[in-house]
Order: sequence, then C-alpha cells, then structure tokens
Amino acid sequence: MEIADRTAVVTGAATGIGRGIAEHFARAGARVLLADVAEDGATAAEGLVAEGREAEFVRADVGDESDAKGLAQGALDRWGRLDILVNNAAIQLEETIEDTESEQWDRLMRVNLKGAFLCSKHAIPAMRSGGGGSIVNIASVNGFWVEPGLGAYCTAKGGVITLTRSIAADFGRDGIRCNCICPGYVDTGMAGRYLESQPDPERARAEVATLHAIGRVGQPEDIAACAQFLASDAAGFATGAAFVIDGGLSLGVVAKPET
Amino acid sequence: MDRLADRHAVVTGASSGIGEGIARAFAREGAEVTVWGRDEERTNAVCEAIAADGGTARPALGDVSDPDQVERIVAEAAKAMGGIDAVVNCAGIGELDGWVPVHEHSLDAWQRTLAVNVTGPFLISKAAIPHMLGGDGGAFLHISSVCSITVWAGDSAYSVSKAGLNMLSDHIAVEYGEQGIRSNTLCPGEILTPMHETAAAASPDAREWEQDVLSKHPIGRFGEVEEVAEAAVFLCSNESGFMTGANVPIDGAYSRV
Repeated sequence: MEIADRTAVVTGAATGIGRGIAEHFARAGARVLLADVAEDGATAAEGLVAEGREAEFVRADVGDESDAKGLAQGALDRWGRLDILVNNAAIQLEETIEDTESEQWDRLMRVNLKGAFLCSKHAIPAMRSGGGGSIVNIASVNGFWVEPGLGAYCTAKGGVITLTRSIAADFGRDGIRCNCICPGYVDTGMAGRYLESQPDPERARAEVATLHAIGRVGQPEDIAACAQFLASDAAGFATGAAFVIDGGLSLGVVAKPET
Repeated sequence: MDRLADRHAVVTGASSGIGEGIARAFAREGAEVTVWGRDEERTNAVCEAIAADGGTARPALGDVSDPDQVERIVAEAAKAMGGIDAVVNCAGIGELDGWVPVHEHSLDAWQRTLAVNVTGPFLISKAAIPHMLGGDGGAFLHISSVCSITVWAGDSAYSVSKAGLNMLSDHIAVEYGEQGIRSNTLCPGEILTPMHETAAAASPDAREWEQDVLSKHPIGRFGEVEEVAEAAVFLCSNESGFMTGANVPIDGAYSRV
C-alpha cells in the first residue's frame, strides 16, 4: 500500500470523494496535485500544506484538452514524474433520456467521460517516460447497475468502465495499470443533492441506507483506501478491474432473510 | 504491519501456493492464523516458517469437502484462537481430467471438483458464521478465478465450481451484511504457483501453453503469489470496510480482453 514520494494528480479534488482521495494520498506521503474547476480546491491544498504535506491546487477543466495536458505537464514540471492519476471529476444529471437536452448530454459526457479520456491520454506518455504508473478511474455502480432517472450519468459511467479496460489492455506492457472503482452511495455533496431531488428526501435518505446489504452508505475514506491500494505496487497484477465498493448495493437485495 | 492485528483467521489450502502466501501475509500483518492443509509435512512447515518470522500460526489437517472434518476443525480453530473473524477459502483443485471438453469430462472428476471448490467453502462458511454472529462480525474471502467470469476452455468443472463460489460469496454478503459480516471473492489470473506447473504439465506442449496463456495477459507477465496475498490482506482488513459482494480480478487484465 506504500505510495510515499509518489506523485499524483487527482481531478475533482475540491470536494467529496476526490478531496478524500487527495487528502488520503497526501497523508500517506504522496505529492499531490489537486485539480478542480472550483477554486475551493485551493482550500483543501492549503489545509494539507499546513499539515506539512506536499500538495498544490491547479484550476483545471478536465474536458478542456489544454487543461488536461497541463495536469500531466504540471506534475512533470514540479516533480519530474507522474506516477498516479485519479480521474474523479464528474457531474450528475437527474433526468431520464427522454427529458435530457442535447446540451445537457454533451456537458455531462464532456466532464465524466471525455475528461477521463483526455487526462489519461496525456498522463500515459508522462507515466511511460518514468517507467510506468497507475490510473484509477472513479466510475460508479451505475456503470453496470442502473437507477431510474439517471440515463446520461449511467451511460457515461459505463463508458468509464470500458475506458478503464481499454487502457489496461493497451498499456499493460508499458507498466501502466488502469483500474476503476465503482462506489455505491457515498456520503458526499453529490449524493446529498440527488437525495434532495427526490419527492420525499427524508424518506429517500432512510431508504438508501437499507438498500446496501451492509446497512449504511459509504464514506469518502472507504473509497480513498482502495484508491491507495490500486495506486500502490501491492496491486501490481491488478489491471482492467472494476473494484465494486458498494456495501452490497448492486447485488440486487430484494428481501433479506432473518439471521 | 498491523493491518490485521488481533484477527483470528482460518486459511484453507494454506500448505502451498496462494493459500500459503495469504497465510504468511496475514501473520505478517498481525493475525493469528489457522493454517489448513491436507499434507501434514507441508502444513507444519508453513506454520514453522510463520513462527520463524515472529507470527502466530497453528496447523489443521483435513479435507474441506468432508462435513465432519470441517465441523471439527472449525470448532477447534475457534476454541484455540478465541474466535474466528476472517476466513479465506483457498483450497481448490482443477484439471483432474487434464484439458478436456465437456463431453469427455468424467463424472467423478466433475463431482470431486465441485465438492472441494464449492461444497467445501459452503461447509466452512456454515460452520464459521455462527462464530462471527453476535460479535464484531468478520470477513470472508473466497479465492475464485478468472475462470468464473470468462471461459478458459478445457476444464468446465473448475469454471463452474468457481462461478458457484462467486454466488455463495454474494449470498453471504447479502444475508449477513447487517451483522457485520463481509464476503468478497478474488479472481486471480495465472499466478506462478505449483498449480501453474500442474496445468502446464497437463497440456500437450507445456511451453506452447505458457506462451499462449501469457499472450492473454495484457500486463505481459504472470502474477506473483504475493500480489494475490496483498489483495487478500486489503479485502480482509478494515481498509475495505464498505466492500462486500465484490468479485475482484487480480489478473493483469486477462478477463478484460
């Protein structure tokens, strides 16, 4: 699980799972570039620096190729190498396909899928020049197990899983591994906003915990620990895999027997 | 080195290969380990190696497919260690008929493969779960295979047994999730173990077989036992506390192409 002195780029690092991963990595001794369109990512980086960690914030729109290229270059300029990329930046859209406007579709795909493509595309040569690296994509259980009213989001997350496999198949022999994590509900602003959008948010909140076999939703730390495992040499033979971290959500729990 | 501190683990198939690697890694991370094997000499040797490294291990000898032996061994393990909170079902067999298509598979080989690879883990889970209920829960890890999610032609009994093992794992995950019991599987690709040698030897041309299998791993190499053991530690530690019902390939992308 050792990632001390490794260099990492984490996108969508201002809040939620991305912030959790960036903080976890920095506290494990990695040098972390936190990227986000939201300027409050700077606060997260400053907090880590105040703890004595090595972290820096870069404002970047992952769907913009020059920004995506700038992230890999940023790691090379600062530290001379790029070991880890976490593609986490994503937005959500609570609409069925029928109600999704073409512009909304394009905007979501641009961030959730094209962003992961662009950041990976430019990280790969940087990683190869250093002898290899690890890309960790944050997909979702919605990439293979859908919930109603999330058509574009689920489609993009399915794309992220396939992007993961493609990168794994093409660059394994360059020492570049690529895996994804498929979280269930995680206690973040994004999940909170989704629950707020439901007809009865309070009921939705109570129900969502019981949908997980484990009886609770996840915390960013649950995802960050797995991201660290995947980024480290401990996961040296893991590539192309989807690590489902969902407390049993996607198993199709209809009724549980008394135990 | 304390990611499994104070854990009491039972590891089957632990006298060689992946099981031995997992038993040693668990002990290194602070767990007390019941090393379950069939070969007395090898099982004792693993325990001695763990003790020499400063770990705590005890041997258990028996056939995982025998209900009476399983009941006795699990009860003894719980008593000796003061509980059971991690179980790794690693004992597995394959290629009993060599590499044959379905219609050439013998019924004996089919039944023996399923008895060891699926019924064994069921019996062990059945015996161990009561020791986890009412306490702090526990973690099951079942060593499955890429053969459970993608066809590796020539040993259907093995693949079917491993696919069944995945569903056993999912059932444990769902039925005991709220009692704090997690259950996951690892699906290794080709790992350099004694089983790898057996599989190569069972093919008409061992070298050709190795090259063919290697070409199906996009990472360009076979896996090491330690790489599976590292994943096993992660999946049985609190680091993976929100992870249950997952099938985790550790396969150099074998199952993805």
